[in-house]
Amino acid sequence: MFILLIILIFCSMMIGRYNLSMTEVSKFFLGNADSATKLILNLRFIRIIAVILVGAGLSMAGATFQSVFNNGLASPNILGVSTGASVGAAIAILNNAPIYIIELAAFIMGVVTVVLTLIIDSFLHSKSSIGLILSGIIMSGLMQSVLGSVKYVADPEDQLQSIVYWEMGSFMKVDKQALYSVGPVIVVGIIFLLVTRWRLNTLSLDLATVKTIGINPRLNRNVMIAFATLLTAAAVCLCGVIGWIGLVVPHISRQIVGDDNRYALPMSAIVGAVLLVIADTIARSISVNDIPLSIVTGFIGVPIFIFILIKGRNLGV
Amino acid sequence: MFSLITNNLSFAYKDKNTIDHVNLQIESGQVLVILGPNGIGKSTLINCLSGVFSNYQGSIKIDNSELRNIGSKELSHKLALVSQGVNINTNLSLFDYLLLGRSAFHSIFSQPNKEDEKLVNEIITKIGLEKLKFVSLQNMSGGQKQLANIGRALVQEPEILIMDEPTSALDYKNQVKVLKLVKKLSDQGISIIMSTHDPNQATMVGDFVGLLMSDKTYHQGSIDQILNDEYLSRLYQTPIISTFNKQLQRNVFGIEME
Repeated sequence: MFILLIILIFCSMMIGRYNLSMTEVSKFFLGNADSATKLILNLRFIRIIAVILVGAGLSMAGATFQSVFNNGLASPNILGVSTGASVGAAIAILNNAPIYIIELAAFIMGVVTVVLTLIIDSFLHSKSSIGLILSGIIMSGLMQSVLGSVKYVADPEDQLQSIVYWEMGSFMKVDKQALYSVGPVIVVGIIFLLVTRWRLNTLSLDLATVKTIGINPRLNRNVMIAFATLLTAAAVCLCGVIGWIGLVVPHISRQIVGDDNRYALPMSAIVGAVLLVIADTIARSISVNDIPLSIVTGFIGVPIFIFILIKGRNLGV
Repeated sequence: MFSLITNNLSFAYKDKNTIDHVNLQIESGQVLVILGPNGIGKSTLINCLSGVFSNYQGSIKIDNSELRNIGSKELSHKLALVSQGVNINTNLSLFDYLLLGRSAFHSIFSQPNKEDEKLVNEIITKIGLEKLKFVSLQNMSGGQKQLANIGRALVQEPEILIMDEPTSALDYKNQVKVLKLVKKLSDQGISIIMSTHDPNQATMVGDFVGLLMSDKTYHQGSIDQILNDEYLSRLYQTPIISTFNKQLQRNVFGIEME
């Protein structure tokens, strides 16, 4: 899988509006490409790195949410985190805030949304996990309305454009500066979830059992949710909302390596990166303009998800 | 010598006492069977004793220290809860599930080691599910899940197991399997508190019986003292004529006498 990712990076470097040969790409990595190709490949390389980080991050966030809530339908989008984060980003854009404020706003609103989702869920007293999904839909709906209002008052010249850009998801605007400011956050989130991944297995049990196993269920759960939300929010800052990846990739990974998060989580990271590199390469080379990424991930994600459902995976609902 | 003693243990839910002034005690290797009709507070009592509900009144002393003052790690080494196994909802394999019993022995950043895995293998043999080691719990029967649940508790290496109706959803064969395991564990010195609504099980494995009566009183005593017509009729509020024969019951179920 990891080798597949390396090959994909290579292929993706070659493909674009201006196709390059394998030798030119090899030259770039060896550091002796001519200046014109270097310019193009530099841009592509930064974009691909961003894509890999986001793909891995969103997938791990999804896998984390699914484990913590013991619910196969939990994902950054369904819990409302993505929409919440884009509301935060949109409000910050509305105030012409610098990039790190946009990041912070996205994170805070992501957390606020997920907390509200959990509060609504606790009021529903639902025995099955359908309550959580409903609460997520409710909060997503609310955040959509807020986002709509923000868009309504936004300056159609530039602000509205950036906000719509967040909503659909695209790596078109990702440059060195954006990657350097958001990338480290994603890396930290990924590393944290990777080193704590065994604990996720414990947290997928019922609260009473987790407590008597000797683990503080709320503290551990909240820490995990915080980091998964951080990853989602950081991804939203970089490229906006990308659908399906966080929901589908963990399921694919569990099909491959089983349900033990010690294996499923790293696998999710790689599968997520692979899928998103493919999706983004399609998005930037299929037409003259970049097409929004959520369109591509939707077309890829839906058939995969249907396939998984037909294969009868237990989604815990 | 392990001991768990409660003194006037009460627990109120929405200002209503669900359990009231319970005084129970148990020592190493003993089996205490808690009997009571549905909805009388057996699960509440189990949850208090296992530290899930920490806002109880009165005291629960484990080896002379108050339960709510014992750190969660230390507590997990002293007692383990076996909740109703049919409710386990996980796709983990039996091996990975049992491994979770070692969680408290590691920091959040670490992974289980070889010794943990060795212990888990031993316990899997003990509960007799060697063939299902890599099978997902989702694909197991109720009885197997219950055994897995007991196994996960044993991996904590506790001194006492607290079991919430461990046989309630099982067929006869699996009930016997679980009860035999209970007996075996107590012979190895592990204390066991289990709740059930079947008085027969008390005679099969119990050293002591605790009755949670509908008037909220709690009576504990040996089987001969307490499992008689008068108490049982009061307990279930229906006339009961018992034909208990401790020896006969244990033979019928193939559970060996002490």
